[in-house]
Amino acid sequence: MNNLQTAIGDVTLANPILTASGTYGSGREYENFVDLKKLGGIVTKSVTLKPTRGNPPPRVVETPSGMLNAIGLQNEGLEYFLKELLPPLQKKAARVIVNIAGKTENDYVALAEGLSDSGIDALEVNISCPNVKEGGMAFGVCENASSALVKKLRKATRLPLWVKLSPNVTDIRVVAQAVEQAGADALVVANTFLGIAIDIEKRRPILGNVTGGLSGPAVHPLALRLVWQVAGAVKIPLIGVGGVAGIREVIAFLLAGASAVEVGTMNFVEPDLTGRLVDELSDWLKSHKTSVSDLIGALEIAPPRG
Amino acid sequence: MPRTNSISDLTATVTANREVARGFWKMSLAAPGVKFKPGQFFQLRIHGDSTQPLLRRPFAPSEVSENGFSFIYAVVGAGTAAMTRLSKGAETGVLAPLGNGYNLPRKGRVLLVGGGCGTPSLRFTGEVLAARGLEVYSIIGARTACTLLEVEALKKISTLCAVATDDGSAGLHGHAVQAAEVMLEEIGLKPKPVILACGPEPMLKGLAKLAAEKKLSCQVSLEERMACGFGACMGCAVAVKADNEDGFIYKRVCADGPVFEATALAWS
Repeated sequence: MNNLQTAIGDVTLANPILTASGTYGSGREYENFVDLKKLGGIVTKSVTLKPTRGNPPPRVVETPSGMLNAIGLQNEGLEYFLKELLPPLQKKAARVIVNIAGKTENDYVALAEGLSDSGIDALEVNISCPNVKEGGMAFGVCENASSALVKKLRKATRLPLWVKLSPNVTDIRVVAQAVEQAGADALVVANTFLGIAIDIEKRRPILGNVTGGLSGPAVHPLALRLVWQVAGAVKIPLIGVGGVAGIREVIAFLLAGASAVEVGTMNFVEPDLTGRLVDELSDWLKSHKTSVSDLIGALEIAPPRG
Repeated sequence: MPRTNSISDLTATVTANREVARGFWKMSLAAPGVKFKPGQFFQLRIHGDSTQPLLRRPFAPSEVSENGFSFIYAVVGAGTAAMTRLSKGAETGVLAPLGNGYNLPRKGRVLLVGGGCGTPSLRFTGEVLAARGLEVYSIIGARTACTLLEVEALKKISTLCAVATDDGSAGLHGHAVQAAEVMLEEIGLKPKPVILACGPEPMLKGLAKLAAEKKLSCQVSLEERMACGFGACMGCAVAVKADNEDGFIYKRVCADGPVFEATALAWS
């Protein structure tokens, strides 16, 4: 095992750098900037069963060191994805993880079945989108609904199930444990944090959807806390996501207990970021004579004095 | 609309940055090798080593040369205020060229209609058209006389150039659309001029209506809040007419536009 390699259950990754769903399309927009093969894998934008229109604009607004988005899962649906987007991505990426989102349990099951024989490496189950009225976060904020959904998916497919949790809950460990017991192979911690931005002159919300999900460097400490908390509550591997802007955040996620990380919002600002992170992480590991596997969960907390 | 050429992510050096009208600044960047088509834009990273402001800001060039380009920006928020503090020699990040650009007519007459900070990009467009021998007419709209942009440059390349201000302090007392209507009366519709426009949405919507009435081809360049600028985030949505239940679908201003045929848009 070289020092960058990591594993999410049975899925080995050449390095722990993945892309965060919704920030990377299906890879095509980044081919100008990154050799996709160089990354641990590509996590696609959410695919829904039928085409989804998305939310009215404005859909994005900048906030201090972050942004709110309320895209609303705009995509062309499963059929188009399988025909047009997936085949070119599979040729260009080392690993392909497809993020799925549904309004109902049946939607998720149909998506899992539809993708089962497509040759992808894993499903990322989005039960945490804060920007749609039905489905999405409605599953993720309830441990019973999350658990029931994952059980159904477990029966429907042999694909590894990576469940993307919502941070918009009182205690993320409760949902994490329920999803683990239901048969999830890994947990992605977490999604965007619900927020709102107001135009004070117009006395109106800026986003067409009123609320949106906060992402970017501003949320990194929040996501890091969630990863650390979940790491203490479950045994399955974790993928940390939230505010990665450099290898400092990558390494922090590993130390907190993540086995891989997803890079999101900063791709918009530095489209070549993911490729550079692989090189910079490699250099850092060499200079520190360590490896990704040695770093996972290696956070040391000093015992209390006395 | 034509597709984009490949996008470069490069460091550009500020060669000049000064106020050119009240609340409007012009920045010049040395960026050898960047090629724009009229109507294309770029994303500027104000501070490469900071997450504040986080996102790049989209602008369209007003002048383009082999060694670089200039653009005019309105100082409206913290990001553009930070831009005014970049002095000669400062380094910025540029992602360019982005978007489709105008589908330029090969011959005939073109009516450029610019409003506010939409006008400067039409200078570049007009100069390219004039150099190709097309007959250029232009309308410049602004709130008030001291915020009119690129008047001299557009006059130079235009057979006729008219100005409109909201407060009547220069030119027609009214909007750019009214000035366009007056000019179309004056120059006639034979041969039919193609309208290319960049400005605030009410202006573009008004022009779309005018163009439909006069059966003129009209392309509008849109502005929307944007994160990436290269088609990945789906943040800059615009409603485009479609043959479905809703009657429209959302397209990306950055990658499917920013230029759209006025008749293709599902105006709100």
